[in-house]
Amino acid sequence: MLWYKAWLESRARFIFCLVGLQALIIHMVLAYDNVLIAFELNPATYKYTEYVWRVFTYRIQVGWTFSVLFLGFGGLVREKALGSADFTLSLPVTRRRLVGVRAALGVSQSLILGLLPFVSVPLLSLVMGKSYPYTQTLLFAFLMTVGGIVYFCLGFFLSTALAGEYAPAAIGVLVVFLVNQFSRQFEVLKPFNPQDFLSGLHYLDKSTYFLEGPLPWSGIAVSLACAVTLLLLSVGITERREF
Amino acid sequence: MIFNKPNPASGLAIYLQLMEQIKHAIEVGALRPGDQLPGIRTLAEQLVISPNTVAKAYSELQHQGVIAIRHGSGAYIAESRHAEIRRKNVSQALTMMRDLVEKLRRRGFKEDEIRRLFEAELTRDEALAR
Amino acid sequence: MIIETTNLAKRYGSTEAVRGLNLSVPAGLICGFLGRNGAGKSTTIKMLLGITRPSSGKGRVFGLPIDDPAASLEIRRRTGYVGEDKRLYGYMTGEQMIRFTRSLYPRWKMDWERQLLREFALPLNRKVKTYSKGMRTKLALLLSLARGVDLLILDEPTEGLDPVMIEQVLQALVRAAAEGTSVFFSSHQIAEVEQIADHVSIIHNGRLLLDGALDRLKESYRRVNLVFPNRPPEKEFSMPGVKWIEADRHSLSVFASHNVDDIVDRARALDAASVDVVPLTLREIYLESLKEEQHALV
Repeated sequence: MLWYKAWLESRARFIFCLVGLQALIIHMVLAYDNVLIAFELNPATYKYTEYVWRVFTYRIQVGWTFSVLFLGFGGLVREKALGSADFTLSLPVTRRRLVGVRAALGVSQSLILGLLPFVSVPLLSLVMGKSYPYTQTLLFAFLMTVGGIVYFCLGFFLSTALAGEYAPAAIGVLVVFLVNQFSRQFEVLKPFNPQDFLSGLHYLDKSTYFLEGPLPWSGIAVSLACAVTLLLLSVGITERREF
Repeated sequence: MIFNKPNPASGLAIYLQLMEQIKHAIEVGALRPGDQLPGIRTLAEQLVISPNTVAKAYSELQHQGVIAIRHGSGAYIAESRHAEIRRKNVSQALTMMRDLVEKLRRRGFKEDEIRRLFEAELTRDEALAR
Repeated sequence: MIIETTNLAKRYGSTEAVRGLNLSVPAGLICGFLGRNGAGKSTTIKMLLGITRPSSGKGRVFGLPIDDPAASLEIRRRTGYVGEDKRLYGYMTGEQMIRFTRSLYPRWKMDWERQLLREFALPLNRKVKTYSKGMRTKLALLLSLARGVDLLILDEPTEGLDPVMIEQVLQALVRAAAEGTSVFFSSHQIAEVEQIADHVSIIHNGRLLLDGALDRLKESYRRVNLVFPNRPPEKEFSMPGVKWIEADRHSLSVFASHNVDDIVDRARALDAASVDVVPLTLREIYLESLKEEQHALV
């Protein structure tokens, strides 16, 4: 029942983010017409697919990034502050298993959080009388969640390394923000900007705003490597920590 | 018997207090030979003391011959010392008697003669006593 | 020995929470672990369970080393623990906490669970965060007692409970002991320890002050009150067994751990006008031992 415990601990956050992201995507898709008017865009020339892509990148992705960052928090260090760490640590389970279950659940939740908004886009588009192919949304979803799972792992890692209610959150947000900003400021770092990478900016066909050609596997691999490293570090830290 | 809760803060160890209670109960007749004492676990829970303490008390009492512990059925108040000693003496006397009667029979004495011999001996004692 | 430590020590920065602790707790007994708040009881217990690592020294539970993760896991399979902090998982209901804990212990005893639920009368449908301190303590105890373990390690198991509940808890511990479970509980309430403990370990300033069978301690520790016609010959009483002497005008009060007969003989040989041997309660033994410890430091 360790999964059950981890679920109960993250349930509120997960549902909140799920509902939030869903609401966001529903709103964004349904508001298409109003946005066109507000930004004085010509519906004949402005592509729906471009709109969807921009929504993905600058709204959903940001929302998802911070959602999964926060999903990563919790764990034994937080339990210590709440007073139940001793109880958990006295159970006949290894610390590795405790960390593993929480991480596995969190990764699953992150993937779901990332998938759902994307999957609902084609449906919502139909409501609007527009069409958007499932294959594309799945590609974008894959790129963002698999490429971006490192954000969850960052939050997870910080939660095992730092004590205190707010330190992990503060540092996490700071890191995400700084990485994004730094890579925009300096020309040489521009190709490595995470936000652009996860949105597939450099692999878009500018006429269709679809992902054409192969996915950026090397980038994904590097991101996953960082993700796995962060998780392994989390296990190591937890195993050595004094409670 | 109604057990009183021992006083943990007394200078006397709890197991000794328990032993005293039981011995006292025997003296005043609250416990009679043959009565069964509560099981170790039952008494421990009832008085909220360690079962090891109860076990120790029972073990000491058994050692002193005050109670007898029968495997599988529990602790029982032993027969009083006097009764036991009497029984032992009687049983020894019976054995001596049996041996003597056997010896006399082998020598050819009949029942009547043996009886008369005993009577003579006993009356002789009486006469001497007077 | 079910618990054994050799020079166990724990340092937090510059503070020595536990130093040179040599515990020896026999199996099958109820052992009371006494000490003031901050004496090192909780730290010791956490080291035994692998929650904290010792700074130095060794410890064994069930003969298994406490600082080896695999061995520690096995120790925890066979141990029921109630910690200092009994907050448990506030977001779970009592029912969920029981189901959760039950799922991790294959030897869980349903009969204990049922009986304790009847006795403790806990509101199982409410979240633990709404429980009072007493209710949380009772739930924590239920969770540890029903595990079907060989050893119970309890840190202040009666904290926050009223006298009726305390008696219920002590009774449950006695019942557990009767079923063969070894009980190791820490307390700063001497009365409880005196009532149910077979063995007592007293910790002070991170070190073991006293350790032994409670009955034996009570049988050998004595206070010997002496009155002398002239100045009391304090120096004549530096002999084995004498822990600490208080002198006042014509009187000497000798606190002795053993060897009382020799002390009495010496007193008579020195023409003591009055010799009075008084047995001691655990509280007195504890407090006098503390005085001796402080005296020794000076």
